[in-house]
Order: sequence, then structure tokens, then C-alpha cells
Amino acid sequence: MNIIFFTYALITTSITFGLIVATLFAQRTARAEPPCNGYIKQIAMILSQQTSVNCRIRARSARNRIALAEAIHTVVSHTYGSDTEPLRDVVECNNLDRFLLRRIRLTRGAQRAHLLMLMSTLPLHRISMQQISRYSHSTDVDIRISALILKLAANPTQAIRTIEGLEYALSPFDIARIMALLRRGVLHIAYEPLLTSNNRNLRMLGLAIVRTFGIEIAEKRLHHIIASEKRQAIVCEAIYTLASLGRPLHHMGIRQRMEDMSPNERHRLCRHLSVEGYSLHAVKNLFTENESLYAETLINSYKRALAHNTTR
Amino acid sequence: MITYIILILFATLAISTLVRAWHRVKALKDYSLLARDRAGCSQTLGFIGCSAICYGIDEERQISELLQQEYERYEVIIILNASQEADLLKKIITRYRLIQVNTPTRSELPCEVRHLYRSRQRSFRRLIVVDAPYSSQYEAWNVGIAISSYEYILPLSGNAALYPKAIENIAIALCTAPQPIDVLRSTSSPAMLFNRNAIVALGGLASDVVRRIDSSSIVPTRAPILYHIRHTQKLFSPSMAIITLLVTLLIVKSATENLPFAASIILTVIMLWAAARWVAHSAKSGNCSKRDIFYHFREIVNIFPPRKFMFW
Repeated sequence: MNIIFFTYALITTSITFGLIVATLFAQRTARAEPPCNGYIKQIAMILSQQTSVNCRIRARSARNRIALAEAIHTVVSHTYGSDTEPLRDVVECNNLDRFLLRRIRLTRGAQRAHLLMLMSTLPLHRISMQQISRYSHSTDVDIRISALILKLAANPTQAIRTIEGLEYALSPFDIARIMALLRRGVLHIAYEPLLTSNNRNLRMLGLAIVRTFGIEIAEKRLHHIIASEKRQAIVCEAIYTLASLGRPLHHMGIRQRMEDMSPNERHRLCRHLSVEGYSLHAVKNLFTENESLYAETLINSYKRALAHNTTR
Repeated sequence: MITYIILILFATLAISTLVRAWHRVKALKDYSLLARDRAGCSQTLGFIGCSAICYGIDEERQISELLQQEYERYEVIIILNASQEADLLKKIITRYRLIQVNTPTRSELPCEVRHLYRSRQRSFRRLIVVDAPYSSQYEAWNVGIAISSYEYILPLSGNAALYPKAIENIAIALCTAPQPIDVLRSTSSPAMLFNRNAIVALGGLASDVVRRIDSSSIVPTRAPILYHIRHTQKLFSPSMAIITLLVTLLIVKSATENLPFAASIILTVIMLWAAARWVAHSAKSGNCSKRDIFYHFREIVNIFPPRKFMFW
């Protein structure tokens, strides 16, 4: 009997000791300066051409190599228009791309997704698409999108073909990650061929580009999509995109498509138009009388009209 | 025989607690890792919006913390009863330069709203303060739901604080879900997000609202959303107090009869305390006092899944 208690006590004590060590380690890690900070300073000096490019930045251990990759990812993600070619020597000298590929095979979950993202910002990719394709079919959403981003970054000229060939529908989060690549200047995609394409993913990406960059001249294309598109999700996305651009919504085609929406969707659109700052006159004709009253109270509230019996 | 049964119960409690602690720390580390990759993506995440409805605020500093979320389509609705918290309301009005605006006269949920306040200052445009009488947390939240603009509702109390990027993680979980979501339940923190239309259809928030929603539309997410702040009012719930008293009596009684058994129980309690400290330090929730550790302890020790929507 005492053996059972003794064994139980031993196991419990071991786990307690492990937890205390883990707590102390977490405290130490929180206090220590991240190892990539030193690399960030050196990389920033290279990019600002304050030092000559050579293999001075060396990372020998696995921990330092990951820190160096994170430093490159941090600098490249937060700068726009900088020439990352000087960093190719750094990547080549430290064999970062091949090292990351080996680590990706050994890790799982969020760590794998993170390493794929680090690899996508490296200016040098000496890997083949087959090595990344296995991660494109992962059930983990973050791994799947990180693999897609890596494919697009490694082969930007084939970006449209890659997106067109996807078997699944891109979610708004996937599109947001692709937009981040666009903003960094990695992908050079025009919005017009995307809007005219019949492929769902390309059309949604085109709408996201129009919305993000505020391309008001795309208004005619958006009206054409609203009038001719059969997929309700894309029609809704186009209407919301028009609203985000602040364009007039009294087009007959919009009113006809809104009649196909459910009452909940119409209420949601009504709230969205109030948030976007539309006046009551601009939206009155889109909704029924009850919905117009609802819109009126929302819009008046958003326009910060003062109450009649104001106390201040 | 009884000692064996008690030991098995404690062992079961210990194992489930360790599993929950591990799950919580892993979720925090994974999302901390993914947050770096997702930087800059949250601004274009479809049109998903979230209204955080909070009651029981003690000071205006708590509002500032809630407003720190960077997600674009997010608003904070504070419910106050001016007849009981007149001084606090005045401080908030002064601090955030609020003005009284028109109260929506038509709403899907019956509620009594005395006054509605919005800010003149653009930087606080996401803040709405509602002066309304309420006798329970559910009444307060239903007032907020009637006022809210976005399609997802996050009920909070004055004891809750949001993790960094919490709303962004919520939006990502929502837009990557394969099916429509009525309830998004966080498995690593005591938070639930509700679809506004689903709650309105059920007549508002209540303690049994989760039971009335179809279980297929309740989706779990590992994203850490909120934690409880330092100065909480209740240290022990009644059930926790009873359990603690029973454990203490048990240990005292068994110490005189069966020392190994008593030692096993004490070691189990110490191990659970170490697990709570590990979770608290891994959460990096600022100056984590012992009271916070008590709440981590209470959260991870609770082995029964929530059958009701209770917020403590």
C-alpha cells in the first residue's frame, strides 16, 4: 500500500519540479532580450548600405539561424520598397533556406506554419515546388496558407496560375495574407484581369485589391459583377466593396440583387452602411420602409446628432 | 479502500488539470507565434465585425485597455447605470469627450435605454457608452446587443481584460470556419462569442442560451481571448471554498492516521499550484499577482465543461 503512495508521491514531485523549472525558464525568457535584435541591427545597416555586403553575419547554431531568419522576416515585413538583394549573400552563407526546410519537416502545427512564413520572406529560394506542395494540402489552416504564401513568394510570375489552380475557396484571411504580399511589392498583379476572371478566388482577390487600395475607377467593373455574377457571395462582396469605396448605391442592379438577400443579410448591410458613413438619403431607396426606419435611427446615432434634451 | 478512492479522484483531478494547463500554455505560445505572421492582415479580413459589450466597469482605465485592440471593425459598448454610478459616468464623459446622441428607438430586443453617448474625438469613435438600468449581467448585455452595430457579440464583465490581438484572432477563427457559427467558444480562456442574429432570435442572452443553440453551430477555438484582471472581487466561489475546506479537513484527519496518504494529497495540491503558476507566467499577463494565480488555478481545475453561459 505504501508503495502505491510512494510511487504517486514520486511522480507528483517530478512533475512539480518540472513545472517549477518551466516557470523559471518562462520568467528568464520574458526578461532576456530576444536574440534576433542584434541581427536586426546588422541587417538594417546592410539595407541602408552603411556596411558592405559580405558574409559577416554568421549564425552557426540552430537557435541563431532561426533568430537570423526571424530578423530578416521582421525587417522585410516592415519595410516597403527596400532592395532585399543584399540579403541574398547572408542567406546563402548561412544556408538559411535549406536549414529552414529541414526544420519544417521536423516541426508541427503553429511552429511549422511560422517557419514556412519565415522562409517566404527570404530573398533566396533554392527549393523546388514539390518540396512545398506537401504542405499545401494540410488540414491546418495556418500551414496551408503559409505554404501558399511561400509558393507565391518563390515564384511570383506564376502567382495568378497558382491561385487559379487552388482546389479550395480562399477565405478572407487567406486573401488578407496574399494582400500583405502585394503591399510588400512581392507580387505584381493588376486588378482588372482578376475582376474579369470567372475563377472565384481570383475575383475575390481582385475585389480585395480594389477595396484595399481604394481603386475608385473600378466602379464600373463592380457594377458589372453585381449585375452578372451568379454566386451570391461574390455579389455581396462586390456590394460591400462599393460601400467601402463610398460610391453611390442607387444603381438598379444593386437594388435587384439586394432583393435576393435574406432579411438578416439586409440588416447586416444596413448596419455596415451606417458604419461607413452613408447618409439616409443615399440608402433610403435600397431598403423597405421598416428597414429604412431602422437605418434612420442608426445613421442618426452615428452622425452624432445631439439629443433634444441634452444634458451637456 | 476509501483512501484509494480519494487518491484516484485526486489523481484524476491532477491529470485533467495538467492537460488543461498544457493546452492553455500551448495555445498562448502558438498564437503568440502566429501573431507575428499575421501582422498587417487584420485590416482586410472580409467584413467581420465584433461588438464587445462590457458592464461592471470600475474605472476608465479599463475602457482604455479594451480600446487597445487594433482590429478595425470593432466597437466597445459600456453599460452603466447612471443612477448608481453617476460619478464614474461623469469621469468617462470627461475623459473620452462624449456627447449624448439619439437613442435608436427601434431595436430587436426590448430594453430601456436612458441615454447613449458617443465621442467627438475620432480616436475614440469605437466607444459607445449606454446609460441604462439593469438588474443582472444578462440584462446589461441585452441592452448592448440592441445598440450594437456588428454581427458578433463578445460579452464581458469589468473583471475581464482582452489578450493582445484577441479580436483579430476571433475574426480569423470566424472567417476560416467551414460552417456558419452561432457560438465561438474559446477552449483556452473563459470566453464565448455569439452571433447577433442567433441571440436576437432566441430573445437575448440568458444563462441557458448555450443549451438552446444547435450544438453543431457551436465551434471551439484555441485562440486565447480574455483573462481576469488583478483586482477581482471574489477570490473563492462557494464550491471552491467547500472543496478547500474538505481537502483541509481530510489532510488534517489523515495526517494522524496515514502519513503517506496525507503527503500524497499535499503533493497533489502543490503540483496543481505549480501548474497554475506556470500558466500564469506563460500567459505574460503583466504583473500577475497571487490572486490571478488563484483564478488560473480555478479555471484549470474546473474539469466540467460549461453547461450554461456563466460569466464570473
